[in-house]
Amino acid sequence: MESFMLLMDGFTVALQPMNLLWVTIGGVLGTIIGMLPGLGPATGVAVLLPLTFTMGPVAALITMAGVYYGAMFGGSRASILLNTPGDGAAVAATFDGYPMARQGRAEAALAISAIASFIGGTVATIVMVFVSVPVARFAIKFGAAEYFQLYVFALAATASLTKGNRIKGFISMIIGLMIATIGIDPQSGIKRFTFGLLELQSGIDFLVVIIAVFALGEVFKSFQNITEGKLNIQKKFGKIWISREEWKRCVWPIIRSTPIGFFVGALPGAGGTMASLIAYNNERQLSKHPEEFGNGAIEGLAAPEAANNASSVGAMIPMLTLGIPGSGTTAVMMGALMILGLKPGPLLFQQQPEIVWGLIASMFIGNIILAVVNIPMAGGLVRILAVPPKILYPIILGLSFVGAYAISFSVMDFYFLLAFGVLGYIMEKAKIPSSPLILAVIVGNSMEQSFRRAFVISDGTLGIFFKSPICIIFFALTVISIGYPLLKSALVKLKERSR
Amino acid sequence: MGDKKLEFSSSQKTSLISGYVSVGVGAVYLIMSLALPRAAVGMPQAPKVFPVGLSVIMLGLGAALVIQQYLAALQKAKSGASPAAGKQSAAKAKAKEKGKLEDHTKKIILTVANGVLYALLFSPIGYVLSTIVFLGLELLLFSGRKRWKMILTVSLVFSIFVYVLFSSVLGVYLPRMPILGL
Repeated sequence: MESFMLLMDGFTVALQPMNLLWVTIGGVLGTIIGMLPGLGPATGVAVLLPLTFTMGPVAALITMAGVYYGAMFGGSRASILLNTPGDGAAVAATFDGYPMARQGRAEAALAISAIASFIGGTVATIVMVFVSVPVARFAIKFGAAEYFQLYVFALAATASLTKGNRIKGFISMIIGLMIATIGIDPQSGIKRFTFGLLELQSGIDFLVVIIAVFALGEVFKSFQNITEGKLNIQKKFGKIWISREEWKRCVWPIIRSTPIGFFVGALPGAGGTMASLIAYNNERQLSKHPEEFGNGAIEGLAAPEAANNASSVGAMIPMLTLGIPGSGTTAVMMGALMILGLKPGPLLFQQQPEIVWGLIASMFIGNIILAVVNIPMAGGLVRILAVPPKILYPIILGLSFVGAYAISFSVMDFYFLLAFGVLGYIMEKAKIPSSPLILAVIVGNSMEQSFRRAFVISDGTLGIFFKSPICIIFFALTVISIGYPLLKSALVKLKERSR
Repeated sequence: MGDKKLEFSSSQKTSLISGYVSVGVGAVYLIMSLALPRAAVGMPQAPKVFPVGLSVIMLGLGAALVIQQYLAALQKAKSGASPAAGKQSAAKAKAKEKGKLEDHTKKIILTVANGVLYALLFSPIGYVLSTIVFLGLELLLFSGRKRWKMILTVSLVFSIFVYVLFSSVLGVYLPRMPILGL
């Protein structure tokens, strides 16, 4: 009941006209960035972060929520109309969304994508209201050793769940942890890896790393096809809505995909990409006419879209209650919270409940406004894609620089931004995933400090990391998350050999 | 096997290089970690433990990646699959790809150089002017000199718009023109 009252308070703040204006502005800007090929919600929030630096916490969060949802809507717009997903999570929307647009059913595709996203996001937010408080209450009992094991698990799961070569996922994670050790060690005051540079003493701000990898790295990657002229895009639309029959086909897929998305999103490391792909495959298996999938089956678009939005809400739970962002975008959101002087984790729920509930209320409102704004405005916003990328991408670069500067007012950050942007691009070329690095840069410091604190408490023995049941559970989860994929691939190989 | 040379596909080569680089990074980081001074308070070795652990894991991962590529190549050599099939047309496509890649790399290098110039100009001549230069050059890189009107308009409008937005609406200070004492 108490949560409910707090949520209502959150609504009264979030519903103030100024905040509604911000969420709309954030939503439109986020939609524009999300529509650009290769740029997704993480980039959108990273680039638009400086807009919120001087706002109050609630206004900042509601703007972020607007950008976040906007970028997701924008991403699926690009998937449907152009077959160019903004990020991994929007890939599944191309499978049936693009064929629908090619068949002249773009209106229905755009409408169902907005409707499914709205339902998925809203239902997931309701579940989140009930789940997050118990999780936070449970986590408050964690000591240094438990936190260390939790960080290890989150990192191992993220590295292990990334697509492609798993060793590369772990390499990415270690690079991130190494970056996090740069600066003055808070416990001993010793300068580590600062190369005598004054600017490195306070460490490298992880927001700079995030902007570098997500904005610069992605823009560098897009240089390849930047000069390929205008995108050929449909600009005239009929009424953007769906028929009763289409709705009937989609109801169950949406209802089934929402919990899948929510659950997968709440796992560390498994984000919207996996959620939407699982939902898509699930619907194809359940469908009476699986042959339509991939040829413009409307439920093949509705399912991943609902799962994607639900997972983005699910990912907020570990971020808010444990201080562990489960995806790139929640990592950026966590950065935004920390810029505001807030430390996500179980204490946030006790000490600043108004912020938590303000954020949750913002997510409800962001979801509604974006759905309302996006359906009628689809035709108008799409025109922005007619501005050639060779003008839009340099502007994104300009925004990244001003964003990095506004974090600590130091030109030194320009150099870091460039260096990590290049690193992000090289990693992409070498097929080394970037999300383990981002997570490691964010939690690296807390991870080392909790490790050392536990070590001091136990007088220098490792036993403390396996003493409490919670520690042992996290350790077991770590072993499973590393071991299970290994076991699975070994089994597949055995099967192949026996054939 | 013996004298037969192992053949690596291009993605395996990239992985091999990644593995070697990881080993190198791990080694350098290990040396630097061991050279860290002792802590004056608490356990003297405490600041080293975590970094040393990281470098050891990094060395192991790099080595594992290298070994993985060799094992894969060995297995392929054993099963006798010849990567030479369809080599000619692949080589042609590769050359085309390479030209594109070189152009791509050139653009990235120029952008980074432009970014360094931006950093150097930013403090002395202020946000608006340095941003006009940066954005102007960046747009020039992709659109060419013929579009100078568009380039000028976009960089002027963007710089002034962002400056006004940040300093008056958002209250974030951006340097105006320190060289003239403004």
